[in-house]
Amino acid sequence: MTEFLVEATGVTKHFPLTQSLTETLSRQERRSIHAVDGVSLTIGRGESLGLIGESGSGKTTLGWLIARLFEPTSGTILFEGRDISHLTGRELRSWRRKVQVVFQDPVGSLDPRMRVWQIVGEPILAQEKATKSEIRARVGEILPSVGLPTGSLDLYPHEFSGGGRQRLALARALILRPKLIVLDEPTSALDVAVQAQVLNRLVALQEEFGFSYLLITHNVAAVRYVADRVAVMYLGKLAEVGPVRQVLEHPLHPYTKALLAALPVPEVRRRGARYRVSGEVPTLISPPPGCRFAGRCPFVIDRCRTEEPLLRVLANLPDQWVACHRVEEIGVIPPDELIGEAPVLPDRPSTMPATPSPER
Amino acid sequence: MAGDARATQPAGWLSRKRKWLTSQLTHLRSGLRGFLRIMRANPLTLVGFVMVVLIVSVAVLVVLLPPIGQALVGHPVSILPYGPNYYPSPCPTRIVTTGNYSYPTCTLPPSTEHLLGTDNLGRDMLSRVMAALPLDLAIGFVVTAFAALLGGSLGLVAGYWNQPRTIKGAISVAILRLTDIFLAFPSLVLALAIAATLGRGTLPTVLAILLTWWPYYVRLVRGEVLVVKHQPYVTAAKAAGLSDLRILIRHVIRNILEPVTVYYTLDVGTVLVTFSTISFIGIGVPLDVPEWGNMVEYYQTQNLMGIAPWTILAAGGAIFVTVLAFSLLGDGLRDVLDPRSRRALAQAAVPTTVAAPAALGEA
Repeated sequence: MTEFLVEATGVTKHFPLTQSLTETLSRQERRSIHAVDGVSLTIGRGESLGLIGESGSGKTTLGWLIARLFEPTSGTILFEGRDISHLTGRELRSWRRKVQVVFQDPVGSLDPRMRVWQIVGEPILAQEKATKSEIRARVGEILPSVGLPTGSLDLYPHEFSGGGRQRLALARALILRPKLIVLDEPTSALDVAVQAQVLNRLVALQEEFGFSYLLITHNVAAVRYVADRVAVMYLGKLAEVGPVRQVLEHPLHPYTKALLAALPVPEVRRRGARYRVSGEVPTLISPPPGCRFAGRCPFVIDRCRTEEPLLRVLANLPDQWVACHRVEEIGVIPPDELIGEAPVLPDRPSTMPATPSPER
Repeated sequence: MAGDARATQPAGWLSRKRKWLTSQLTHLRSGLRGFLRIMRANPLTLVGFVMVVLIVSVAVLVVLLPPIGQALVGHPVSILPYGPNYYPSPCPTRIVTTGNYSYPTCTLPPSTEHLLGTDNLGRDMLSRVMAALPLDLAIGFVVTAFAALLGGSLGLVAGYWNQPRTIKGAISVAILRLTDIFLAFPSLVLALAIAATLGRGTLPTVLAILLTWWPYYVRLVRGEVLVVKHQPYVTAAKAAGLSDLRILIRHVIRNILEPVTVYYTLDVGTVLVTFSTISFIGIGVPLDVPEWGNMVEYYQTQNLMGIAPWTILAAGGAIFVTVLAFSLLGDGLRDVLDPRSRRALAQAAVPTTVAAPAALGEA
């Protein structure tokens, strides 16, 4: 038994593009979208890992890889020490009872023609031999734990509100008591009040059943509330991983700083005064070597464009991993001070700066 | 007394059976009530439904009454007023004048004796139209059903297993190209050509329609499967660990059944018309078999439109009414088969102020 529930090493997913006939004839190399490129991370037992990043950064792809809805192009995923990266057929299907997924779209992920007990009981049907009445009984038991009345067994999904539907999806993920639940934007379709309800429920359920969560979201507040650790993704690579408070309050990677600084703050005076990165998100098709953020990073140096920064841990900040060549210089600058243009940095500090100031 | 019996009865299969029966009955009753509500909310569907029920029951009576009569009273009984090919000889005539010519003819206009009149041989039109009903209906239903089954299964395969660069994908492409070849011909022309090659008769005509009809279902089903296949709930089923085949049955077929059923219902009418057209052109069923298209063709060649329009109108009207009935029903089925609108309709039809239980789940 290993220490970690999930241990991903160098996981890569490339989606090949369709070639035109001339490309095929001229024997050009098949181009592909590098959705996830060499990501290594771990999820502990009973741990919640938040995965944040902008749209198109490969968050969902990574989640689907870990849930094995995609097969990795390369790299390995160990689940409880067992390599599941290339399982197929019956083996894969029976493994699925350990990992369940809550999908982004609470309307689309519930079959409109099925009743609640059929939808929520589907994993039982897939994994066990159970009669209709057994399935109904078990679904009836699980519904209260997500805050739905037991009597709603025979309703159709359209008879629920958005929050109700997301709870149904959650109940479906819970019913087999999996080890890991991949939550793909579980709250993005909900209003703030319902978001809070669902998040509260998630935390309570974790305390009750001891699952691990992989929470994929744009919503930094949700991550702060639910997750123990957070991983920041940019263009298919991890920029930063670490304990949630540490990363969100003292981000080290320039991209994390930019991402967090872009969050709206309910304070009038701060409007407009924000750390901004310029430029467009580059394409994921055959990305250039070097740091993925190099094109937009205000602190870019030549080394960033040629040598890819690896995730490394700083001496004074254990558990926090950053992929940046210049983190020793940039890391300490709080995002608030990175306003407008990139600030002028001192030439090269001779010593590594101390931990971020304690009052922040 | 009844209470005593129940109390003394052991909890054996009998009481369980009774329980099951009552539960089935309540199920049926609530289902019936819902059905009536939908029909009331959607009067045209009700009209279509009643018409289809009437048409089907007449067809059943026409087929079943003679053998039942034979068995019960020793001679065939029929709801047809006359035999479909019976004509009195010599027939009662009337004099028709066209231009300068006057001549006797057996065609009698509708009367109490012959509700739809008689044809040029003095045969009762009502009997003929009714006698043709079972055949035409069977063709409409059965041929369409076969086409839907054949085309539907091919469409399922082509839609669900369409990954390129695999053997399955190659099969799917093969199915689609074959379909394209068939679709490249106008179906009626192709059916006519096949029917003409196979020779005159009921079976060749049925075969001809069957061979030309399935490609539409391949296209329809494939398109629907492609839509359903990419729905998140299919991915969710996969994530739950359901196998491909079970996903196909549980989610894909369930979700494409509605458009296919609706299309099927509408198609029954189209097949009927096509069948009649083939007969009308003169390469369908033999003349002595009563069939609507056949009748229209025959009376037309006998130039009866001018002197006895009721003959052609009776047969043509039968086609029209039957097709209309199925179209109305098909349109209504679209609403009935969708659980979303089913509930909505059922609730709209109840004059109540109670809010819809949509807010459930907000605990």
